Amino acid sequence: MRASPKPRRPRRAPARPVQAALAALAAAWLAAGCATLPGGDTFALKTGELPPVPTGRTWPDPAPDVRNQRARGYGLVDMPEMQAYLDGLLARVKTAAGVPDWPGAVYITASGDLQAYCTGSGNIYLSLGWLASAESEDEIVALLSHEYGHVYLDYHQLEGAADAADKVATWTTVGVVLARKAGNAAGWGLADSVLASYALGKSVLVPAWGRQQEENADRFGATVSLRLGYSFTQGFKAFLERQDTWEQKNAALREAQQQRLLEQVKQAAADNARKKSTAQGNDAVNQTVRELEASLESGGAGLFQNLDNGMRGLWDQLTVSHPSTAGRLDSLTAQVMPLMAGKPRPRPSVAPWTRALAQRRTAATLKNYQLAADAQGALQAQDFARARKLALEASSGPTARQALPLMTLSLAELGPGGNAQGMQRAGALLDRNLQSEPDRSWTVYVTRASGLLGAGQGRQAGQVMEQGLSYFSDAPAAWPDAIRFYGQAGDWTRAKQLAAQCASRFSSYAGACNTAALTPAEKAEIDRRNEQKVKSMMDRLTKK
Amino acid sequence: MRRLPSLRASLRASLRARLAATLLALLPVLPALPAVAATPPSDLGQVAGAVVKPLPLYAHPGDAAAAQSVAPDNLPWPVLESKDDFYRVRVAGHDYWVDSMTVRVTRGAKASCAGTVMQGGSNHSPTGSTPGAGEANCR
Repeated sequence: MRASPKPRRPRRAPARPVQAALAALAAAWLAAGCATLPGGDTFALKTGELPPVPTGRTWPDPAPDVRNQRARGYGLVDMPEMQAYLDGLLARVKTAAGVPDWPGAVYITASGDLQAYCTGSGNIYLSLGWLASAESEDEIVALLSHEYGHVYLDYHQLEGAADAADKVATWTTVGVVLARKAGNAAGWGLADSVLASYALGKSVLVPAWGRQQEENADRFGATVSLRLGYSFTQGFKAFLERQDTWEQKNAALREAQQQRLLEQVKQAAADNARKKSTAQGNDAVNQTVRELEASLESGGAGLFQNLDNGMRGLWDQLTVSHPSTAGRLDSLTAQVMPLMAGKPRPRPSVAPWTRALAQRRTAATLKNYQLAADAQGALQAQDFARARKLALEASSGPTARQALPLMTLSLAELGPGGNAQGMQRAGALLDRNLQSEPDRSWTVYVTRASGLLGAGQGRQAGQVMEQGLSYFSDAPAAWPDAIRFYGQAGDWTRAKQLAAQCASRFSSYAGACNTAALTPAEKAEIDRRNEQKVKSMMDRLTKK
Repeated sequence: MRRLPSLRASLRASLRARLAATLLALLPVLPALPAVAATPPSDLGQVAGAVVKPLPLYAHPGDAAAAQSVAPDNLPWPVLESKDDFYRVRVAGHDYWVDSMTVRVTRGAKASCAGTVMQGGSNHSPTGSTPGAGEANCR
C-alpha cells in the first residue's frame, strides 16, 4: 500500500504507550489487509482505457441473490417494461466492455433514496428514487456502467474483509477512549485492545479500498459511457452532481440531528445525576457536589461524542486523500477533459428515457407509489378517510399485489381503533401480497405474523412465519427477523436453533442472528457488563 | 356464566388494540417516496464548485476563447440559463457563460430518506453487494 504523510498530532503522555501499540497493530493489520486484497489501494484504472477482459470468472446462482434483495426493506418493484429497457442498456454496457455474455440484470428497489448497488451475481439494483430523479438515458447509463464496473473488476472479493472487520466495528468509540484517554483503565483487557485496534484498522482500511474502488468504477463507467457515445456532462457528471447535492443535503440534516441528540443525552445525564444526588441529602454542600456531578456527568456524555469526533479527525488524517463525491467528480472530469478536447459534445438522449418512463405500466407503477407516499402523509395526519382513498388507488392496476401500497392500505383500513372488521380487512390485504409469488415480501410476512402474535393467535402466527422462512430460506437477510419472532413468541429453543443454522450457512449474518437470539436475561447481562466497563472508564477519566 | 361473554369481548378488544398498535408502529418506517422531495430536477441549480481555477468566463456559449478568468469566489452562483453545455451566471454584476465541464452544479432529486433500507440493520445489510454508487445517505 502507498504510504501517505501523516500530520503530526500533539501527544498525551499517559496514553502514549497505548496509542503507539494501537497504531502499530492497526498499521500491521492494515498493511496485511492491503497486501491480500485484489487491486488493493494502488490499482488505478486510466480513464479512456479498459483493463484486459477478466477470464475464469465464476458466478453464483442469481436466484438466491434476487430473493435476498427481496427480503430487504420493502423488497423489489416488479416493472417488466422498465426492467427490459434497463436490461437493454446494461447489455450495451457489457458489449462495450467486451463481456457481452456475462450474466446480470437490473432490478428496481422500493426505496425513495438515491440508491444503486450491485452484487457478485452481476445484478444491479436501482431505487425508485433514481428512476424518479434521473433526467436522461445518459445519466442512467452512467449509473449502470459505474455499477457494472464493480462487477467487471470483481470487487466483491473484498467483501470478506469488510464483513470480518464489521464484527468489531462496535468497539470503535470505546477503543478510541482507551487509546486517547483511559490508558489501562480497570475493566479493560488486552483482548479489548486488540479488538479496538481491529476497529481502528477497519475504519482506515475499508475507506482506503472503498475509495479506490469507487474511483476505478467511475473511470470504468466513464470510459464505457464515452465509447457508447453518451454525453459526459449530462450523463456521468450529472449523476455525480445529483448524488453530491443529495449527500450534502442529508449530511446537513444528520449534523443537526446529531447535535440535537447530543444535547438530549447531556441533559438526561445531568438530570440523572441531580436526581441521584438529591436522594442523598439537601444541604448547601450537597448542592455544590450535585452541580459538580451533574456537570461531570453531562460532560462525560458529551465526552464520548467528542471522542467520536476525535476518531473521525484521526480517521480523516489517516485518509487525507479520501474524496467526497465532489472530489471524485473533479478528479474524473479532469481526466475526461483531454479525451473530449476538440471533439463535438454529444447531445443528451432525453427522448428515450422520457419514453421509457411514459410506458403505460411503468408510468402507472410510478404514479401508484407516489399515491402510496401521499397516503402515508394522510395517515400521519390521522386523515384515515383520505388515506384509504389514496391507498386504494395506489393498490390497483400493476401494483395491486405489491408490498408497499398494500401495507399502506392495510393501515388505512385498520383505522385508529383497530376494530374486528378493520383487522380482518388489513389481514386480507397483507395476504394478497403473500399469495402473489412475484410480489411477496419478507416484511409483509413479518408484519402479518407479528400482528397475529399480538392478537393472541400464536399458532397461526407461527404458520405464517414458517411459510415465510420456507420461501426466503436462502435469503440471509430474512433470518434475524425470524429468530427475533420466535423469541417474542417465547420459543427460545427454536430461536437458538435457527441462530446456529444461520451462523453456519451465512457467516456474514452470524452476528445479527446471534444477537436476535439473545434472551432478555442474556441481553440484561450484556448491558450490565457494558455499563460496568463504561463506568470503570468514566471513573478513570473523572479520576474518582 | 353470564359474565363470560363480556370477558371475552374485553379480551378481544384488548387484542385488537394490540394488533392496531403493532401495525401503527410500522407507520413511521414506511418509505415516503418521491413527492415529498426537494428541488425538482428541472431546476437549473447553482454553480457549487469550480473544477478549473482560475475559472474561464465566456461572453457567449460555445466561445473558443474566454472573455476573462476569475477566482471562483463567492460561490454558489445561481444558474440563470443553460445552453449548449454552458451555464449563464452573473459575476460582479455582469452576465457570463461558464463551460459545464469546468464547474460543479447542484442538481435536485425526487428522493426521500424515509423508510430507506439502512445498512447494518437486522435484515438490511446488503450482503454480497458493494457499497453502491455513493455514500449511504440515509443513516
